[in-house]
Amino acid sequence: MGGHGNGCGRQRSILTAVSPLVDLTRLAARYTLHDCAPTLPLDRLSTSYASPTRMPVLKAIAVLLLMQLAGEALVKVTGLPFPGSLIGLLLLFAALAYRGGVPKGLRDTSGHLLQHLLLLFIPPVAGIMMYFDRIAREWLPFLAACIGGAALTVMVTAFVFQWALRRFYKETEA
Amino acid sequence: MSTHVDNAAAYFAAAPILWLTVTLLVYIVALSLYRHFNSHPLLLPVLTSVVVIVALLMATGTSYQDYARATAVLTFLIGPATVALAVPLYGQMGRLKRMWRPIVIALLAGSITAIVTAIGIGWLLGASIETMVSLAPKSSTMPIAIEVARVTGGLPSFTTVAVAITGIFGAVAAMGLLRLLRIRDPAVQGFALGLTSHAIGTARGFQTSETTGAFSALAMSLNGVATAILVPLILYLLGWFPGGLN
Repeated sequence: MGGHGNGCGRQRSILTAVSPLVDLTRLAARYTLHDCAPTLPLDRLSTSYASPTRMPVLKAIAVLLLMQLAGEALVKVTGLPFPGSLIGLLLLFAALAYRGGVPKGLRDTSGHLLQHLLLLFIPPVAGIMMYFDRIAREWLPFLAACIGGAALTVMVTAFVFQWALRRFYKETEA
Repeated sequence: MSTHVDNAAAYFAAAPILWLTVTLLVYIVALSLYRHFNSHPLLLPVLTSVVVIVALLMATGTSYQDYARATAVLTFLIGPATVALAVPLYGQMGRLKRMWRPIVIALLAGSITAIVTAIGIGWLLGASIETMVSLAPKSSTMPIAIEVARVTGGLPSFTTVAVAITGIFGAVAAMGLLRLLRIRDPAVQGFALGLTSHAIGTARGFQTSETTGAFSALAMSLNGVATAILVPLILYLLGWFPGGLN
């Protein structure tokens, strides 16, 4: 039993990854295997369960949802043809500019959410399976618009930005 | 016995626990494949994942409607994730303040070019109006493009595929194209890359240099906003929005 306890100590990196499970296991160990208890002091239990006083992630999620809600409400009330979440983005941007900084919890939570943005797109992209007949009909204009449009956009943007930098931004430190 | 199996199959066909687990596992494998091959744009996790998921749905005879219902929680998160884009955009505040005039000019020129060329090329080659409306927001970042397509009457899944193809093409070809045009300023390269190819281009930009990546991220965020405002406007001027679609 003691050997098992030491094993727990050496595998910290794995333990943090599965900490909820580990906490439960430790609790179970403390109350059932008394000889293992001294190697598992209570204060090493994850504080997230013991004392939920700090909740940066919850607050960050609440802020994101609130901004989206406000955006959706604005869109519905005004009838403007914009996505509510985009108005939420602008509202959050304005709030951050007014506040003069990003709270750490919001920075972390946004980072996590944006890091795996691609996962969220799998269901909508998979919707393409309903339109295979349309793809068969329109693949050429579709592909040409994507590729040709991208090539033209890159060129026009680069030329205009280069020109505008020279014209309006003399100290070319960038 | 066989009725139990049938019941279980019917239950799992539309069960969130099955399809959420499958989607997550497929994404994890797709992501490690992407990282293993040094972020090759053709292995973009969303593309490889969707190929596998669509194959699984067709093999099991699951309808897309069932899959969409089962994974509604993922789709819901696109909204808060869009709002979260304000954080990296705010991180660019210094640059934005310093050079707002050239940035705004290039943003408008690029964003309008992206929308008009998408519609124009589609029109020249005989695309349907619905397809052209779906193509219009293709240079903006995906969460915004999806919402723009939904608001303006496009097909969101078409839009997402257009967004992905545009991003991949830009990431693969933009730098070569810009070198050909003798544009060597990393700020200009990054801005053009991010405006055209959103997050995929930005990932490519950061592989080139810090400046390229930063300007790419800035252009991506700004073009998301610009596209959301300009697409409804341009479609309105064309008479396709609102209500021009059948």
